[in-house]
Amino acid sequence: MERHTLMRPSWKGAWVPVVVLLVLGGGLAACGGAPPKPADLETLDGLRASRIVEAIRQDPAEIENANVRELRELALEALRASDRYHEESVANWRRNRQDAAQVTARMGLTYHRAAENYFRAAEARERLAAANVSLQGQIQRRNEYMERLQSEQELIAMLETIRVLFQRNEELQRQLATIQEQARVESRALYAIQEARIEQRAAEGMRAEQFATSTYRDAQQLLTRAQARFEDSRFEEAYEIAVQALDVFRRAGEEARPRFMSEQDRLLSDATNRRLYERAQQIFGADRARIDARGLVIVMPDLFDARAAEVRDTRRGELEQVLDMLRQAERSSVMIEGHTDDRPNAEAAMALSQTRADTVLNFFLQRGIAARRLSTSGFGRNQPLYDNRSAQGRANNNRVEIIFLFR
Amino acid sequence: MGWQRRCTAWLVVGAAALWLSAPALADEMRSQLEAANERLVAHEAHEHASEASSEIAQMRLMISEAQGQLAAGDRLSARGTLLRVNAVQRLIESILQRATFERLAHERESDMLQTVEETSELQLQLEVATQRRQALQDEVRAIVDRLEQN
Repeated sequence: MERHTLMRPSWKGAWVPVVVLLVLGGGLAACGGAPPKPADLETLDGLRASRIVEAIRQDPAEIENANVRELRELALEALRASDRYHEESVANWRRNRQDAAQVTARMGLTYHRAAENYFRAAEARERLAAANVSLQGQIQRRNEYMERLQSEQELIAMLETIRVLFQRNEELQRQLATIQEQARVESRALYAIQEARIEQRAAEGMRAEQFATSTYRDAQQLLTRAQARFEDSRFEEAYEIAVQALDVFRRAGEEARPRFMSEQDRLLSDATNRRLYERAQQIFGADRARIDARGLVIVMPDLFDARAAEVRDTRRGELEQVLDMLRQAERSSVMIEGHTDDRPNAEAAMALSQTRADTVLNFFLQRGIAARRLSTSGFGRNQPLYDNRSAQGRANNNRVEIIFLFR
Repeated sequence: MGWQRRCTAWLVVGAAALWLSAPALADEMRSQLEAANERLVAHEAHEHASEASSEIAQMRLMISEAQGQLAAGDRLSARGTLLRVNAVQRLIESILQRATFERLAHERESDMLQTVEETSELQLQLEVATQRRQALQDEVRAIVDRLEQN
């Protein structure tokens, strides 16, 4: 258009061609109608009627997000450029300038597409902003859950440790109860065996092995079985059999008693023996001075401290009294038997009992009693005379027995 | 006829001004083409250039066309081509902006969805852990009660 303007140097005679052109144009319009619309203009018309155009035309000034607003402004700007080219294209088409109409319609299309793209970009930018906000929120929630989960996991680890410790504690308590029960059963069996032995000693005091041989042998077999069961850790059975043994030993002692009494009478018919017996009973009492098959037995309980082989100072007086008896019964030989309580192991008890017997032997030797009259033996913990379950019983079993052998 | 002379004089002056300003206009268009070319290079390097490949090719052709027109002294055609170059350049820029923000939005939405999934998973784990912790607490309390009774 600029070119046309520049190519006309003067207005002189210009009305002639204008009139001719108007007449020709009018004639053409009257004969042929409107010229065909260029395809791009048709397309542009169609696009301009779409909904998105309405959305693009809305004023972006109120959009808060500056980035979105900027893109919407670009979209609006491009749409306005498209509008301008559309108007130009329509004008060109109406003037039947097909090429110009096509070119401007294409320009309008290009700007229209740009406007749509900017609008879509603005929408995407808006989505991005919303996603950013949501993402921040989600990240915050996720972090909160992670912290809480970590805290829960730490608590779980701690509780599992506590549970394991408590379970171990419970298990140990159960084991302890089992051990205590086993110990109770074991000690009950042990004491039953010891009581049977005490009863055996009492029966032997009545010479039951001689005067009630069969019953005594039965009792002894029972005791041996009880001991075997005990060594096999069959404590319940050991207890049952030991109780039977005790009863049978008691019965053996009762069976032997009449014949023993007559035998005792026979032994005490010897004047020397009787004097010795009476003296012993006077000094030590009937429970500690008795007659058995061997002769006069004097029991010296609680003579030693536990695990010791030295005679306690407080008990030396009793040994002095036995010494007097030894001096008076010049012809009597004496057997000294050492014993212990049940606390040391068997081997140690045996050695300790022998040492105790030797200590008493030395006591007499040092005071002038002839060695030929004295002999010793140790029985360890095998012949308790008192109940080892009590402290007093154990103390009493730390003893010697001094036997004046009757001829 | 005085007005005709004055008009002719003004036309002569205008033509002279146009003739004198012609080289400056050509330089101006050249520099615009140069700038368009630089933008074209930048668009080609864009990570979403493939989305606007036909437009980029079109712009390159138009720039060459305008340069040819300028070289031939056809400034009027060159000016028209430059207007088309600007329009296509704006179109390319809009395509790239759209592609960029759609990708970013998609990525961020994917991140968000993934985070939502992770959060849901964590929530489940937390529920399981809480139940486990409560069960352990009950168990420990029961043991403590038993121990106290013993």
